[in-house]
Amino acid sequence: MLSRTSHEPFAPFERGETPNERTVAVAYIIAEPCIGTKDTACVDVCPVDCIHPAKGRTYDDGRPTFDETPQLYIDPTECIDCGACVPVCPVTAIFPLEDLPEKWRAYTEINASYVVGGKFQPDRFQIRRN
Amino acid sequence: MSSLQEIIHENVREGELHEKLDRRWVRCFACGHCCKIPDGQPGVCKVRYNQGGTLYVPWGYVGCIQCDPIEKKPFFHAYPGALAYSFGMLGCDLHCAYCQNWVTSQALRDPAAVAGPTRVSPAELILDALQQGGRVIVSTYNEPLITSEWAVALFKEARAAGLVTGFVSNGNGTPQVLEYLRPWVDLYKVDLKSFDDRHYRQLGGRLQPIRDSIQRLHEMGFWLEIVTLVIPGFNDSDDELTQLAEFLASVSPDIPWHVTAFHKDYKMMDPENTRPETLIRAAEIGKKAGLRYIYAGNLPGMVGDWENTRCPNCQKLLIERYGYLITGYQLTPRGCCPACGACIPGRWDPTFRQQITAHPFVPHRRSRSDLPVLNR
Repeated sequence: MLSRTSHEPFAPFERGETPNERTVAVAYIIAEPCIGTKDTACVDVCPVDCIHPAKGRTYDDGRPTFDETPQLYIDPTECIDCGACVPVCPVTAIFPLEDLPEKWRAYTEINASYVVGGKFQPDRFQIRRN
Repeated sequence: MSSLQEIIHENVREGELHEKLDRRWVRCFACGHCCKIPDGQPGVCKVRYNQGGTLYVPWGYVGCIQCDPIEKKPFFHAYPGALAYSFGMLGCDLHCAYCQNWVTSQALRDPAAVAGPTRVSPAELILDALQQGGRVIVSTYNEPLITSEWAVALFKEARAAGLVTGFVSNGNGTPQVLEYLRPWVDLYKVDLKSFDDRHYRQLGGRLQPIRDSIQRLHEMGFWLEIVTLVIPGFNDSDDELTQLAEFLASVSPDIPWHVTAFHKDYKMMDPENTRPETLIRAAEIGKKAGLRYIYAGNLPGMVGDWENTRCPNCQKLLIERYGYLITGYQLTPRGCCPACGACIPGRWDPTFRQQITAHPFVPHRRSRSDLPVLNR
């Protein structure tokens, strides 16, 4: 039998899930240690550019830019679960969902409240900030 | 006891497919991820890594060896019946939950996937391939793109010995790696797993580099065949199969398309095994999209005429198959239909050379006894 470990990529399909629908945000999560750090090594290594906002980049959908957000966020739809971002984070802020410490569980939603599928989520992001 | 990771990191040399960046970072071009790798880290594939600003890549070993009929790759339009001496390396740039070769492909990600490498030189491996009756040597079982430098070293030796060379790949390539391979790789099979970018991201990749590579492989003159593993509920909708087949037909209607049946494996145990009716439906979608050579694979005797090659011009039966077994061969020495003269695209021998095997087998101990197994 297989044991699940932190080295293991996420199985895309969990038992009982309809394979066609990605019903849960399976991805890596950036948690609290990023706040005040925002190192951006993760942005540099990400092969699919799914970590936002990138430093010095302007977006045309009105989203808060690098200097305006407290932390970096992983777009759960664009993330390919490769894990390249994890070892380069100097403050160990990035976790696969299954290894996310319980105390930072809210960061799953916080990550998804910024961009999903490359699209800014203004309503969700506003709620999160208030 | 060395860990697999340590063994992998001892059998390397400097890679060619990369550029050096500032801060001792490198950018790798072996696969479509084009990883930017900081000093001290591996790429997504976990086998190519940056140490001190130099990219190191696998060298000098194989993860597994097997003698397969070429029909198993599957190539149906290249040297029918040939024995394809097949080697796998370790690691992959994707992490498909249904991988049928996960023991090698996920060896560095998943501790449950244990495959021990065997140290070997190009001359030793090619000699073994010839002794087994190999006509073709194929890099397969894991993703060959991530070990392209080593494959080219083996293929140079193979060419000199008169062997044909091939890749069985997920197609997540780059212009740089395909240019690098073109002089040394004859046959190229792409496993096109889906035509939905969201699905590809679940498997750990993106659709776009794979689409681009398929187009490029055809234009560059590799002999290209495509396989799609049809998975119920994942990629078997009429809509997705139609888009996929229409894309292939737009590249060339002469590209053979294999639709094969999923069986439960690795971590994807929920979808049902693919039924013959589903493969036949997929094949009919391919035909409607304009593809001329469509094969329903790995359910021998259950998919009617879809195992055979027919002349698209006059419908004459040209190659009959049952699974990997060739049961009839009617092509002319130039690879044409004997009835109407239409030429069938592919790589054909002047005559059918008979099959050494229609079943995979692991090479006999005698020919591998001089290959030392690394201590693990």
